[in-house]
Amino acid sequence: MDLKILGMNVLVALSQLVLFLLVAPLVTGWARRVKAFMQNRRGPSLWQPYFNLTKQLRKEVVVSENTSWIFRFTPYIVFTATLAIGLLIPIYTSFVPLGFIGDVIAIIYLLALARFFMALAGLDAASAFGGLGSSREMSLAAIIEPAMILAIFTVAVTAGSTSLSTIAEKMSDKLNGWDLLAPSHLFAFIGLFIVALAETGRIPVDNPATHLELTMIHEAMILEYSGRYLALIEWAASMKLLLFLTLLANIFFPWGIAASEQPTFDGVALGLGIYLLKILILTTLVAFVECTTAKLRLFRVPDLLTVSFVLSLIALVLYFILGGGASHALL
Amino acid sequence: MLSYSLDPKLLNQLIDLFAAFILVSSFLVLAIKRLYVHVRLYATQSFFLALVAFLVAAFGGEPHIFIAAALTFIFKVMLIPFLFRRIINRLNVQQEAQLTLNVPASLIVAAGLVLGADYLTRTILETNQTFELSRNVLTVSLSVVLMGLFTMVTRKKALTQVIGFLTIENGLFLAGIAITAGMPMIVELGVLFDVLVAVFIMGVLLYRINETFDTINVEKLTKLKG
Repeated sequence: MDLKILGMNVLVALSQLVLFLLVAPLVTGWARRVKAFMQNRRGPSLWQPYFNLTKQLRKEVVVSENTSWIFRFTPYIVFTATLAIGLLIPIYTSFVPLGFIGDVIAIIYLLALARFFMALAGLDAASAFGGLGSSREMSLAAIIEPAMILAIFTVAVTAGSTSLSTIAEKMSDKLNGWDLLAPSHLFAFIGLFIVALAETGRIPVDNPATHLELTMIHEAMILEYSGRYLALIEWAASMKLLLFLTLLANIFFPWGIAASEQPTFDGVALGLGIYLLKILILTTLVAFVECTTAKLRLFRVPDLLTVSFVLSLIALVLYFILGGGASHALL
Repeated sequence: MLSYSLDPKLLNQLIDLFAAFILVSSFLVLAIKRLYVHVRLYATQSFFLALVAFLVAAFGGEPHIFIAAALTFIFKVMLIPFLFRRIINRLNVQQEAQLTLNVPASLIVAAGLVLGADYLTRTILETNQTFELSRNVLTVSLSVVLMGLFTMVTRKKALTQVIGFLTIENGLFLAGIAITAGMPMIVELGVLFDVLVAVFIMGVLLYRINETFDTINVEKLTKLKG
């Protein structure tokens, strides 16, 4: 590989790491801001998540003496796994920094790893709320995961590859790229959007703003955490939101992504600008959904998730029924 | 004519897209339990049906399909949902539909029905390669018919069963448009008025059932009244 391109790619990888870490709390702040605006409140400052994080990082950690090493390790595992996923997805160039490690399947398993340890940590302190949260998280995950896998596979089948870098390149290709009007595209998007709401604990499934509901899922698991552990977990949660929004933006609306072969400075800058715009729009959409829907009863949540699962399944089926061109994808 | 001003490929894609919406609204009838939402979903489905009919007419079918599309819009999107809302208000029934099969299970069965319909149309189409437009839409319409039947079988409320019946009719209308690119006008008109009268009669029937049994749950109809 040309040394200049290599240097550019290293630069892109580093900037992606920094961007992913630093922009994530801003996205959470923006979502809260939009929600506050729609509810006629003034709402906290856009930078509030940063203030929270810095304060929590400085605070003392209180750990129950009944907990084991799992409780202390989990924040690091969750944080690292989420950060690793951030380097496994193309953000504003189609170059994936950790692309040599794994593809989209690795992402699904890294998410599962973080979730597994989160659930264990919830159980570890042996408080009633933690166990409740863990059991709910795992039972919902049983439906969320297949829905997510099917939605992503619909895209992968169309692009003929499970590598996100190839997917982003193929999709942004104007001639052979995915048609925006293709029904399978649309349904996979809706399916993955519901998955994103469920995974990041947004309103129809879970409420990110409260600790005082018997219906809470994610907040119940992290109830025992404090100080820098809590900071890491909340940081990871906002990175997870950004991660899903990036997946949605770059798989389904892959305009403006700079090609990895010859990354020019202009291309990267343009890609970055368009990427931030896409994230802004999608975050607003998430906040809009949160304001216009009521939180579902816990026993009704599987209904919504099954809708997501079936939509993704239909997307995959529709690709073969309506999409045509199935032959080239399977080869 | 409109058919020359629009790119045929784009038109075909739009028809596919609207057909997919029709399919999904049938799915949502199975996923959502509220009766008002069922009525709204039926209206949405019919709206997309009217759009498909309009596009087929623009695609180069018979001009009278334009009339069929307009009538579909007036009857199925506006009149029948209006009648339904009136029936629901007058019956004063509780909102949640009762099911014999829970939502996740029925959704998965419905997904299976789509796969079955796909298999079936594939075998049908192997015998005849002539229709191009219909190939995709036929699958969708067959699935919609099957899902309408499934709705009728698994829902206990008589009102939801009527919605299932109307869904079947929508599926048949879609199939008719897709295969023939326009049935004779008299057939379309006949079917539309048939459905309208059916809704009137079922409305009266539902009202009677509710008066006699104090419920529109069809399982309770076996109870003897003394």
